[in-house]
Formats: sequence, structure tokens, C-alpha cells
Amino acid sequence: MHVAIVDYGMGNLGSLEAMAHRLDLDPLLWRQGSLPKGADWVIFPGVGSLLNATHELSQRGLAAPLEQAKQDGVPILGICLGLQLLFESGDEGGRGLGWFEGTVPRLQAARTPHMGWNTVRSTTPNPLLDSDPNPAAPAYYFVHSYVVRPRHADLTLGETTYANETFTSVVKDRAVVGVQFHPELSGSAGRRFIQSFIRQVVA
Amino acid sequence: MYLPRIIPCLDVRHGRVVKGVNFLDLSDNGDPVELAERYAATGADELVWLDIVATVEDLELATDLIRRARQGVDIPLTVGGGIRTVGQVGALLDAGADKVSINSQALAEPDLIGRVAKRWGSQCMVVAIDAQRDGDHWQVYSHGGRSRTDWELGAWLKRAEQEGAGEFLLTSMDADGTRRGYDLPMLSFARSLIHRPQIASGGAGSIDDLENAIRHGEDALLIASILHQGDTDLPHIKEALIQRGVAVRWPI
Repeated sequence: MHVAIVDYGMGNLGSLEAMAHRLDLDPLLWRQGSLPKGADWVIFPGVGSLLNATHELSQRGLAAPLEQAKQDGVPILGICLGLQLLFESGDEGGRGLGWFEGTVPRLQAARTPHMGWNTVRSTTPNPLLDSDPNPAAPAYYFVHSYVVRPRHADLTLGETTYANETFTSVVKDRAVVGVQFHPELSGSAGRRFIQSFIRQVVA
Repeated sequence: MYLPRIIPCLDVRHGRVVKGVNFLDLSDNGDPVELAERYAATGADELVWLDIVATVEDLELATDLIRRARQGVDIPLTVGGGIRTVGQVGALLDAGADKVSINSQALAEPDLIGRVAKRWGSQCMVVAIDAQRDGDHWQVYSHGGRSRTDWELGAWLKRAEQEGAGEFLLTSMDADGTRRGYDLPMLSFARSLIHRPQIASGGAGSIDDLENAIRHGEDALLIASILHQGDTDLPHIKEALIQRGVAVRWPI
């Protein structure tokens, strides 16, 4: 199975490629133009600020091909900034792709980034998150200072609490899923999440 | 629920792990790649890899090893040790490090922090600090604790945060090597001044020490010698913490 990883200069792809290899997936770097041939699904990653990301995406002409892939029903997994970019606008300027209605405000916590392991609670029964056999809610690795605030609650599948603030950490709409955490840095729980994504969304 | 991070530290010199490591079932006790994978697979929440990357040869050796380690290590990996330039940072991140840790060169050239943060994001810029008690305050040292600097700890923390530090790795030179517990007063002092995550380092000798630090409010703990004795390992540490009512990431 081939997975296209969007490479628009926002963040290190080494750990994503390594994860792909561990899962016997063939990673294809998607740097420009339309979806790489043979790609079964897409990882839309990224770290950093929405402002720079929007600029880089349009500079490289990737926004329209991504939109096309979405319209063609290609499964897309947004990770961290890749989740935030699915929404409309950030607190400090910058526009996302606007696929989902909602904003990207800053975390209120006194200590940011929210960095480390945190649990994700399902807000509604769903096989994507609930297939993890861990008796406790599974914990994943987070690194972010901004969160997404969807306008419509039914977009949210999972939520997470940091410093008394609860935010949406997993969204899903048809074949587009976004997660605030990093599956590629989340050990075996991260691997199980990707396997679940492949079973539930790609297959 | 936000969970504390237990972070083993690998001390690597010239491609080999230094300091006693007694995993009898590792095929090569000194191979840092095998050790990093073992730690990741048995419950480490993150890894810190301290190497020497000052010369071109050192850097090439380190990047080769990190590239290999990245294939099997599915948790965050921070690499540090003698980093002096943005080019060295780029090489380590390209090899698969998630963050870099910079100590002496940040003191010599504080705007290096900002240049790294601007280029790759502050989340990958860890500022490591060695400090020692000096009367009524803590003084910052550079070059592995050999050189006293003019910086008082609080002033340097604030400056480094201003420059763009995304996280701090704080080693108490007073506690380091004693195995008598983390330097909780120093850590609280730092925590009260900064708005970034901090990793506590120096002094961990027992599970009691980890429990005390977590109950005291520390949420990221570097461990080294506690794993080198051969009498405990990460599953044992995590199970013991759970039994004491301290929530950690376990089972993984």
C-alpha cells in the first residue's frame, strides 16, 4: 500500500517515513502537482505556524491538488498543523484550507507548547478510536500551542484535556480525518491508530 | 489526562554507549541504536541522546546512528552534545531527530536559539542548562559544568525563553551523580519563571525519587544511572509508579 506524504517544508518527515516503513507502507513524498500515482491515501503533516504553512502550500501549488484529492474521495489524514489547516483561520492570521468550518485559537494554558503524552476520549462511539485494546484511554504524543475549534460538534470524534482546557483532538468527515497528536511518535498506540485508520477509512 | 514523561538518557561517545549498561540479552551492550530501540519498546516516553557532534567526523558518525535508530524508535528523540551551528542542527533533524538540545553554544551565542526556532519551530529547540547552587541563587555553568558563566539561572532562563526556547533540560550539578533525588528547590524556582515545559535532570536514584518529583509537580524526568545498574528497567519503574497511585503511560 502506498501513502503520499505532503512535503511543503513544514516539519521533519523522517519519523513519518520511518513509521510508514514499520507498517510495511511505501511512502511517496508529494512535493508538487497532483496526487502521486499509485497513492492509496495521504498524510498531511506539519509543525509550526498556520501563517507560514498557508504561504508554503500556495507557493508550491499544493492547495488545489489536495482539494482535488479530497473531492475524489482519497482518504486524507491531517496530523497536528495538518489538522489545523483543514479549518478556516488562525488567531494570529493565516487562513487554512477551509474544508471545515471553525477557527484555530491559541491554547489558554500558562505553559505551552502542550508537549507530551495525553489521552484521547471518544466523544461518540466510533470504531476509529475505540478499537484500541488498551484498557485505559490510549495516550498519544502531542506538541502544539494552537487547537482547533470546529463550529459543528458532530465533526469531533475525540477530545483531550490539558491544563483544565478541553479541546478537539480528533475530527472526521467522510474520508478526511485530522488528529492533533503525532501517531508517528506515539509508540505502539500510534501504530494501532494508523492501522485502525487504514481499516476504517482506507480499506 | 496529561501524563508525566519518563525520559532515559543515552550517553554516547564515538558511536558507543558509555556508562554501564547491563542488558544481558542485548546482542551488543554498547550499541546505542539497539539500546534506544529497547528503551522505546519497553516504555520510555521519550529519549535524550547525548553525543559529541562538534567536528565533521563526530557529526557524521552521530547522524548515521540516529538515522538507523529512527527506523525503530517510535517515540520522540532529542539529540544534543556540542552543537554549535544551524548546519549541525539541520543535519541532526534530517537524520531523524525530533528536537535538538543546545547548551554551551546557546550561552556563547544566545541568538542561535532564535535562529533554530525560526527555521524549524521552537518545539524542536531544547535549551539545556547546568546550574549549581551559589549562596542564595543558582549559577549557570557551561562546557559540561567546567566553566562558570556570568549568568544567574533565572536571568538565563528568561533570556533563553525570550530567544525562542521551546523546552528546557535542567540539570542540577549539586544533585547530579548523588542518586539522592532531584533538586526540587531548583526545579520549582525554574518552573515559577518560565512558560515552557521543563525536563528535570540529575539525582534520580530510585523510584521514590521519581514519585517525589512527580508529586512535587515535575512532569518530565530524565533518568540515567537508575537504568544502568541492571536491577531495574522501565516496565518495573512504570508498574511501581502505577502501584503507588502515580498515573504514567502504562501499559503502552
